[in-house]
Amino acid sequence: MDALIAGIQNALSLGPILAIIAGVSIGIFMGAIPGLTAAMAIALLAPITFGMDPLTAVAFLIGIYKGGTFGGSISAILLNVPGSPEASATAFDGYPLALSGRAKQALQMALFASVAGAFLADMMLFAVAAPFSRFALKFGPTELTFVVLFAFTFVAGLTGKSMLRGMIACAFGILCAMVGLDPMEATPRMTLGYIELLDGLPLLPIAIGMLGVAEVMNAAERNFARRGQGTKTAQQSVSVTSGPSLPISTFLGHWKTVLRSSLIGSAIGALPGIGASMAAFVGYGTAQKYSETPERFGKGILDGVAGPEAANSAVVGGSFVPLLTLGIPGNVTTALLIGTFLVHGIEPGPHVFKTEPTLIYGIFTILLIANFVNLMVGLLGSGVYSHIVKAPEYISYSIIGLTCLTGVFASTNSLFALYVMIIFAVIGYFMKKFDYSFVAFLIGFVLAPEFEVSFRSYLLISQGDPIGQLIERPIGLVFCIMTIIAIVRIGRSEHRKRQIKSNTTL
Amino acid sequence: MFLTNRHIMSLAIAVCSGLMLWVLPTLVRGDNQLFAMNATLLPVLAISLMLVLSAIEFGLSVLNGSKSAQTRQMALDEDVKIKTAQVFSVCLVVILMVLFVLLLPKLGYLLTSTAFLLGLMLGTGGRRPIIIIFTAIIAVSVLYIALRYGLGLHFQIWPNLSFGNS
Repeated sequence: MDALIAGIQNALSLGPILAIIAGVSIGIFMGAIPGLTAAMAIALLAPITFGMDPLTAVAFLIGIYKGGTFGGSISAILLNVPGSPEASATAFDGYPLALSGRAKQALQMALFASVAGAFLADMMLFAVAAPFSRFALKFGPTELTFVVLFAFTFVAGLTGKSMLRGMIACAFGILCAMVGLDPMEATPRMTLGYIELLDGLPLLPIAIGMLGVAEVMNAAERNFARRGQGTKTAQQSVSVTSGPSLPISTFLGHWKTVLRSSLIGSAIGALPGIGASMAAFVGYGTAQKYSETPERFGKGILDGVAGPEAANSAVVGGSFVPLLTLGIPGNVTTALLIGTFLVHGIEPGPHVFKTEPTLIYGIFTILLIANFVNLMVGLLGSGVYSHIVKAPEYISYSIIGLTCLTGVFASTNSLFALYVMIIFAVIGYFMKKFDYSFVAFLIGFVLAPEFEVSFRSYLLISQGDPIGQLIERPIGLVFCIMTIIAIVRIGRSEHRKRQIKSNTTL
Repeated sequence: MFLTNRHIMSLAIAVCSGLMLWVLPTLVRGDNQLFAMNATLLPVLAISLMLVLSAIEFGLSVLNGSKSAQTRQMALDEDVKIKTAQVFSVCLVVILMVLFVLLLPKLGYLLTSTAFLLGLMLGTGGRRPIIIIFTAIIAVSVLYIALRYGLGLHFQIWPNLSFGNS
């Protein structure tokens, strides 16, 4: 109880509150620009949190995460260009609403549904996380090995178009994480004689390269392609001030859709690898399924905005369940958050509830406060954000390119880290082109060090009988069976999809 | 044999993984016996997984592609076309960034960043000189002020004139 009160007090102090406001504003700003995501914003801005105290740093990053999730809907509604992948489903009805002169209502519905969904998911996190962490304390090396293996399989199977390519990407991430000193024997490996690599490949330059610089390359490619075709792209824009505001009673009339989508988003967020995009589409589909007027979906209906927005925002709270209780990130954003937590000396996992209860309750409170800040900033700034989405691509992406270089150099003070970033930008660019999921790569990279320690400890404990050891540990066995089932099911579903495709080609 | 860019990529990954597996013992100091309980264990498993899966992917897609004209067409539809625009865009960004890294210790942050921004804006479609120059100066100044006075970071901002000593 003392920890709870202290956590709430810490979260309500000036530093974290200002950090949340700054984070949410930047998150909405970045999320609103097509192609930029909350994950990219966190990767770019994580270095500036290194000088802050842990709670303020976490508040800033959570603010970006929450703001970025809503920000994506602004360009989806106003321009029919989703600011982030999870906002794609919002565009289906948001843009038709904007075209019919109800842009303001669509934006406000997106904001209200987003805040309500996130709030419900955070309340569930509050209720579920502590009991689950007590259960997770029973996890030893055997359980951890198979839990992480399950996470790898899920992420590899569901974040790309092909499970095989997802697994290759994940294995490549694990391989890259093996550079540096071996954690058990302190043996240097794959360092190629570079002293800088003894600490391993740094996460931030890799993440910034793969997310930020690779996107700058995509922008340059689009420009070259346009020049080759001799065309100029024009973006159709809709005034943000057009149409009436959304009455609260109208929003409350959609409570069933919001509640249903929030539950879906929370559940999907708690599973590694599925992510906010899937939640948004499932939320949209369910809203349509239970609607009294399903035929109006796609033509401009407020339920079509509320469903996906509540679901994709609820993923944020859901994704904190495995992050805080098991130390397992379910998506790129939480993978980056884990990296930043570690820099601040916070090691997410079941023990953190015992060792740092004040900090954990502080984080819970920040998650809740960030929703209200999101609502406030979203309402106040919607007029300004509509101009941001119209900024020319060459200006926004060039500034992002410079921010990537400056951010990495400022955080590491090393030119070597800049070369690492450039190399991984090229790798990330081609991984995206060839559908090798960079999400699977990054999660493999982040989880590999812990996986290596638990896997080798498991092999040592088993004394040459790993199967016997696994049978003695029921939780590990359950996760092992779930991993096998996941591989079989994902493989079968991919095979079915290919068959359907080949039949339609015929 | 019918090969698409995807096939070539799978084959390249399989070959690189094979080579990596071959040279791995030379890259690990101390006990470096492959598939033993030592520092090579997880790297070997990761490389083997990459080798086996990319070989399976290559084999399956070649097999599917040679089944019929329809499956061949499907493979072609799913293929990744390497266009000149892609090569140019990667080269442009890489060259500008490498130049930034090389010139930063010599010219300092302000000049290098401004030059980088001007180059990238021109490369990504900026055509109005006044807007480009104005944006570059403003963006570099804001970034520098935020880093120097907001976060207290010290950069070398002007050219290093003590040539040969750097």
